[in-house]
Amino acid sequence: MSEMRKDPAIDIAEREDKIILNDVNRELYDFIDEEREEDFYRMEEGLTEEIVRQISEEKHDPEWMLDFRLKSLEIYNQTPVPDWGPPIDGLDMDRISTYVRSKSDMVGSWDEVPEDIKNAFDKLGIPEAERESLAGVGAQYDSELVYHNVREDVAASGVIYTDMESALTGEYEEMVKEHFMKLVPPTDHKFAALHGAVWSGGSFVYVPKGVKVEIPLQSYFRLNAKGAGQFEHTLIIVDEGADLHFIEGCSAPKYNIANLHAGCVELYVRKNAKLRYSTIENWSKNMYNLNTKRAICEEGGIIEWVSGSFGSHESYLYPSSVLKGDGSHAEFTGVTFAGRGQNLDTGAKMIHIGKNTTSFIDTKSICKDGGISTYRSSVVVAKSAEGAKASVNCGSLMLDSISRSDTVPAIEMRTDKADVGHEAKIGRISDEAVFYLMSRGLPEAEARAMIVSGFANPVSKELPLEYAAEMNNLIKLEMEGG
Amino acid sequence: MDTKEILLSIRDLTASVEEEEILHGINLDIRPGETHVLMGPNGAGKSTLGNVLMGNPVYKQTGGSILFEGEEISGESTDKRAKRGMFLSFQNPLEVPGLSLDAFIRSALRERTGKPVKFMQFNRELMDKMKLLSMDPSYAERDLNVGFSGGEKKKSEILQLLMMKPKFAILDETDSGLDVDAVKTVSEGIRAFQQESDGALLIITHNANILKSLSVDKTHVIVKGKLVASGDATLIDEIGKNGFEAFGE
Amino acid sequence: MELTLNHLPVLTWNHLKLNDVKAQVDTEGMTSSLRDGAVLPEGISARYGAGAEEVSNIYDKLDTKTAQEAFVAGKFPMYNEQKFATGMGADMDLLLSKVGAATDIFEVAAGSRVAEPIIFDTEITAEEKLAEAQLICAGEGSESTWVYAYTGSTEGSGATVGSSLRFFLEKNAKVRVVIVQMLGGSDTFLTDFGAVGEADSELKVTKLSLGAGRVYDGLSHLQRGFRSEFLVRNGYLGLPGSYTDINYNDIFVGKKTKGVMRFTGALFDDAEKVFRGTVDFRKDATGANGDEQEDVLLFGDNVVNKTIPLILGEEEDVEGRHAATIGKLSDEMLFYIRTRGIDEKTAEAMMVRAALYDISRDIPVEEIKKRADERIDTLLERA
Repeated sequence: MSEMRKDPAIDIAEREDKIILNDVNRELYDFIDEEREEDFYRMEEGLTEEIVRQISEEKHDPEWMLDFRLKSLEIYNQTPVPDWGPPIDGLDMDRISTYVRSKSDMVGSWDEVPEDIKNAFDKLGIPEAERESLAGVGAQYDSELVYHNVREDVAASGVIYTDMESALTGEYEEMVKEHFMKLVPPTDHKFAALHGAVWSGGSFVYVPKGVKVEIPLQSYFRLNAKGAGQFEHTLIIVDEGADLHFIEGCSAPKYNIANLHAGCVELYVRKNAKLRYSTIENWSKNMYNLNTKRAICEEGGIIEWVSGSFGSHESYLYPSSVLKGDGSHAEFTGVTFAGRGQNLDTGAKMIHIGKNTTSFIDTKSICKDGGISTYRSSVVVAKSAEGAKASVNCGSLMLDSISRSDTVPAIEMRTDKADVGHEAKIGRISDEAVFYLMSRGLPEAEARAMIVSGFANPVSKELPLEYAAEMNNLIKLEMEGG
Repeated sequence: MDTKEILLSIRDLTASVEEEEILHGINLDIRPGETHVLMGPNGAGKSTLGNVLMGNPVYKQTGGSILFEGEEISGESTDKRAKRGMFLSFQNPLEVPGLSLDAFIRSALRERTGKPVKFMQFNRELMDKMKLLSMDPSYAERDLNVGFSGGEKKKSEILQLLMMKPKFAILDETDSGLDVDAVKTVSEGIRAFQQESDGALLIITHNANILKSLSVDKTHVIVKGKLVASGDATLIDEIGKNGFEAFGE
Repeated sequence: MELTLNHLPVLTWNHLKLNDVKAQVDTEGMTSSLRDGAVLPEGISARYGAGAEEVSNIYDKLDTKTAQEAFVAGKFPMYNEQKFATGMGADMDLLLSKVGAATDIFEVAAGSRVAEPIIFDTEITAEEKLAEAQLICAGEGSESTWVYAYTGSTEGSGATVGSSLRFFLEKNAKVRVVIVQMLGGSDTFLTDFGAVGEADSELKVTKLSLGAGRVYDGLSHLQRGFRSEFLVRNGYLGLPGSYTDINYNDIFVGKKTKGVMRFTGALFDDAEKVFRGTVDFRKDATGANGDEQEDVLLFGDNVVNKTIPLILGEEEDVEGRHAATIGKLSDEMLFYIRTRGIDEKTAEAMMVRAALYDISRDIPVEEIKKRADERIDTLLERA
């Protein structure tokens, strides 16, 4: 049965009607809140055992966590930087402060959040979003969460949504210990080891068996401190038959020295559970975003990644899905927009282990103004994954000839009882499409922006409306060449 | 009624595509040598029925039974059904570079009969049938459907029908996209099948032209996944005049 | 000696082991096979046994260097160290120089249209070790066809054959190259290829891998000239126990260049295959069009199939596509064949044979084509 194909331009136009494009305001993300020294605690720059011990102490880690940190540091020191991907010579760990926090404690009421931090989040529309459409919100400012709240009815259903530190030192310690960096071990790569050593902040979520959280939970990360790193850890366990949508937003103001984000996301999707993990990443363009995200699905489990990468100077980001249980399923839908001065290396990894597992990757890369975007992926079908099906579809759109777009997808199959399809395309905005829109009275620039939005449509249509609108804002902003 | 006389017996057949039910309980009996016509508007489930009868894995039979010569064939693989003597002529036959049309028919015959095909006899028959279908003899050695025009592809399907002599054939929109002359030629090929063998036919179409020179035993109208009317050949003219509206479309 | 061959132009995760391949080649007693004395058709001249320096000077004159052309903006590219790039890379040249293999240089006179194919039909017997290198300069407006066949027993004889071919196509030159490998399970075949195409040149390469237990297959084509065209048809049978390693790079530099690469194969039992295919659009290659398709059928519980198709782009005004189907026949195709009473296994074998027959048609020498078709049948029956 063939699906009706809509003229893409018409499709875009229809969506545009739904999403009202606000006038783009760059200041939305780039405002800087000067941190008054007396209000903030800042770890000295660099990375030594002494610093790791200090962070651990500062955070009142249990003993095992201190050991874990020190071991990770050792691994970090022994592991070479990757010899593939964007160069990270510009990142000097001796000049990165791994821990910065406000001297006030985390609160559960927005009114109690310190004024300057509240202003920052207000500008980003965070509490507003919570009131309107979220089941719970966490907000991290630099290294620590400053605000955490979950709706009463959601909490009553047994859903746990708290900051990692509370989880670690409270009643969920065992659960954390059992899962923390088990999916992404510090040996995975250099920056996973770094994360293991200096991680701070992030969220812990547990959705009990059979509980379906109807509206999304959200964490917002803001790295405000200059020359600092953010290393939040997100650990989510969706128990059997449960259902959750988690949204992650990231932003930072631009400084002229490097900032580093090396977060880690570990997602455990139990039998027949479903998790959707959506991210709109808009770090500032001095950020090295070396982030690791991984999910593991038990039998019949579903993981859906929706990912928009717009910010950062350089990114290494490949959310991976381990399809361990029979019949489990993973989907990755992503868009990456690399503008001036950006080198974004993004993609996904799918690992099929269970029988009849399925995965879909659908990505769009856009580059402009000298930006470099690389789509990188691997689909591995193990010998045990009989009946597996995987498909990869990646499109690249180049908006000028000073930019660069590469597609590097690997496929490895170790059984003949599986099926993998792959399709990649690279190209430009078709003149006919621009002409078509202009013939309906649109100015060229707008026509082009609209086509780019349409190209990214597979991602934006997976996002809640307000995030889709934000994403379209970001595209429009990039298209104006800021 | 003695069911042995019935070649194909369909009872309460339901089927779905991608979780959506398309056929909602079809009942139909076809006897050897009969020609049935299945008409209906676009999207009524005509092609779905053909594909389900032939066991296309994209379509899922969700209920009911299909008896062929008294045996239940639901769930049986496509090639087994073909070996029983069933045949489906495709709307859009597939192209296979490197495999010639004659080699393909020969392999299919060999699979079906389990015996080697006599070369001379096969060739003579192939040439006769191609002549009947106004196909250039060179097509025998051309790659299966590769670079064939729409009309040639349909002729290639009818050629396979004539060579394989199935007991029951479904012709799915064999007339679609053909010009007047090609419709005539294809129709002659189908008539030859009717005359030469005791094979039954289920002709799926929404165009009466191809039926002009064929003898039709029964006509069925399918609308929204259900047979809403059955009659003799005169039903075709009625539809020609009034369309499908009278049938609840 | 250990060779590092078939470099991926842009590196990726090391754990995938796709960035290159290490090959152990026993060079002891390896000889160079001079084609001296071959009867050449009119329009073709030869200079047999040219030394490294002579060849290097010719490369300079032809200005074949590709190394610094790519703007890779901070990537980690594997710049090709060769003056005249091939798919397998510098280590293959090293092998040739180590065993003292000189280069046979052939020239197709400008304007001459040589209808008759130039045939190198090599029979490989017991434990032979052979390395050969050729440079073919196809003059402006010339037309020529080059056929290379390597035949041994299906079991093989522990032979190693290394072949390095370089083609320089002047303006409007048309070159067809057909390479048919019919060696055996215990044989190793290294087949390296490099080409540079000037404006309006047309290069067609057909390669069939039918039997050798270890195959290293590399190709690089620099489509330098305006409107140059390139077509590759590559068919392979990965027999039980075999290893096949492929690396093809189509580099688009000239405007309106066009390249199509098609790979079709089947793997049986515990056969392993690595396929790297790169469509590389360099800056200012406006209007270029690159298309790559790989179809692999897998038969056997222990097959290993790795595929990494790259599209590199530093020019906006291009069209590039890569598609791969790995595993089984499409449901549609399978259904069609099955409606004719043919079961799945037979249908798949039928499709593999059809695909390879389709490629063997490119062999312009009837006797060699027949040999290849018979080999296809023999190997498929056995597999």
